[in-house]
Amino acid sequence: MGESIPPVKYGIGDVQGGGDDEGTDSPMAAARRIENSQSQLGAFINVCNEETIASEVMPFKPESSTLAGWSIAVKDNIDVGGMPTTAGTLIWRSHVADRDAEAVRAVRNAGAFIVGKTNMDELGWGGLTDNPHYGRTNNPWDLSTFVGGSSGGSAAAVASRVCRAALGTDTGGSVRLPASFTGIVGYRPSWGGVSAEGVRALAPSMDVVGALATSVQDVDLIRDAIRRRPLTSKGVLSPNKERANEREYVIGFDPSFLDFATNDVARVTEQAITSAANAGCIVQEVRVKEFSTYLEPWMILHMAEPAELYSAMLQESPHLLSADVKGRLRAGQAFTSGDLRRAMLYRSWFSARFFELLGEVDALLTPTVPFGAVPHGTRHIQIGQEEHDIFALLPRFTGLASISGAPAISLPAGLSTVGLPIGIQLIGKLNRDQRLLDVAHRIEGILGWSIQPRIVFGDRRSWNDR
Amino acid sequence: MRFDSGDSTDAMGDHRSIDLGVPVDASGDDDLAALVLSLRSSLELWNPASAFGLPKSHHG
Repeated sequence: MGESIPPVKYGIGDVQGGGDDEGTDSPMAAARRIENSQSQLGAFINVCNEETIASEVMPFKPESSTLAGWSIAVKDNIDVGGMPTTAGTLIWRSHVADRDAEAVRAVRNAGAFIVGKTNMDELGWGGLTDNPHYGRTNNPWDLSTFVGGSSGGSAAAVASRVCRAALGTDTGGSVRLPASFTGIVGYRPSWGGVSAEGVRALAPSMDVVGALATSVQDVDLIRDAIRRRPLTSKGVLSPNKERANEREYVIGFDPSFLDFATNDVARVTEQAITSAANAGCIVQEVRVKEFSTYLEPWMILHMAEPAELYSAMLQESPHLLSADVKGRLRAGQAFTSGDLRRAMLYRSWFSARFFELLGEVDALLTPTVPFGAVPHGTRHIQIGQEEHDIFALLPRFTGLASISGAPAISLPAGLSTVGLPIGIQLIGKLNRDQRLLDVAHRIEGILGWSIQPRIVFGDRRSWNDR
Repeated sequence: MRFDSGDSTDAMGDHRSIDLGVPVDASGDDDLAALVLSLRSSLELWNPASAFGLPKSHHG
């Protein structure tokens, strides 16, 4: 593979200096931060220049808008009008979207400005954000380690304070995995809870648009903007809404999960459980018996759906696809309709049992990933006496929400022995997203995470709410 | 709806085929074929009729 394709600036004029002005973020400052960060992080595929961004936000939305003045990056499988939506492929490199995706329109309507399109795995299929065409994204905590994926560009941009928040998509963990590896918050809504209009699908029965930010509060505000509303709803909620707190939260935990985690991840997860219990949360032991069996049917669906979606692309333009993606598409095509029927039946069975198991539990707590960030090129991880394929380990915990359609969120919870962030995941009940975020806010407060990477390009504290 | 929490789950038990030497990011034809077979054989250990609590008798 040759050199990576560099980002193109969309719009007119060049970036001209600038910084965080008067306690707020600005298009000029955001464009400058992207330019300063790109050589180290490789977080963007295409960027908006200062004038383009400014033209989108002038005149500014009313200051009461919940996301007024927020700089937001968008994963490059989500349409931003006037820019290409590559989905990390060569095929769509010049395929310019004629309008915004519904989720992008929503954050703009709430006052945010879009700063650029972020790097991702090809078609969103992978967990590393090591793109064969646009390069790999590096982790701002340690540039020699991977950032996770497939929304890795979005995570790196937020973690390094290039922008305040980002949109990503999550099929098997693509928002939560990179959030965990970069020490930020990553939220996957209930399936169907956010419009997928204007988003390049991967496995539509599991795809959702999610949010990445540095706090649960920020993620909650984005959710308020992008979530589907009943027809009678009246727009964005107040950011200062009262949180439900009629009783202490019940956290479910299955100790056997830790058999699938490195010592570092097990330690951080156990500390989180202990801290929650000490702070008054009710920790209830549960046993997710199907945990050892669900991943195979999830993987069948995760391979077969893209294979069907992209069969024409594979047939007509194989030279424009990477060998990895071609191989996965061919493998996905090898599954029979009987395999799919059985996998779909399994999903129905699993989902019903999973939600029944949650019962009175507000959220199930798991590690987000079985291991912390590791150097680029790592393909196997040692857990106990066994060596595991990294691609089999990545979705081990995130797949629980993906196959069941449940909402889930990854929170930064601690550091590994080499100083890299480790996340925990909270999984809620279907369509009970607000309850999940309330629990996440409580746990976030208990854990008190306030660490940021060594490499940052902005000061989040200076981006005050308008 | 009734769920049978017995045989169907236990039948798959700790069988974790994807960790048994087949690379999930395989790109060679043989590896991919092995991955597909491995995933299929794992799922075939799950008995949907039992899982959904269908009676075992097929006669009146």
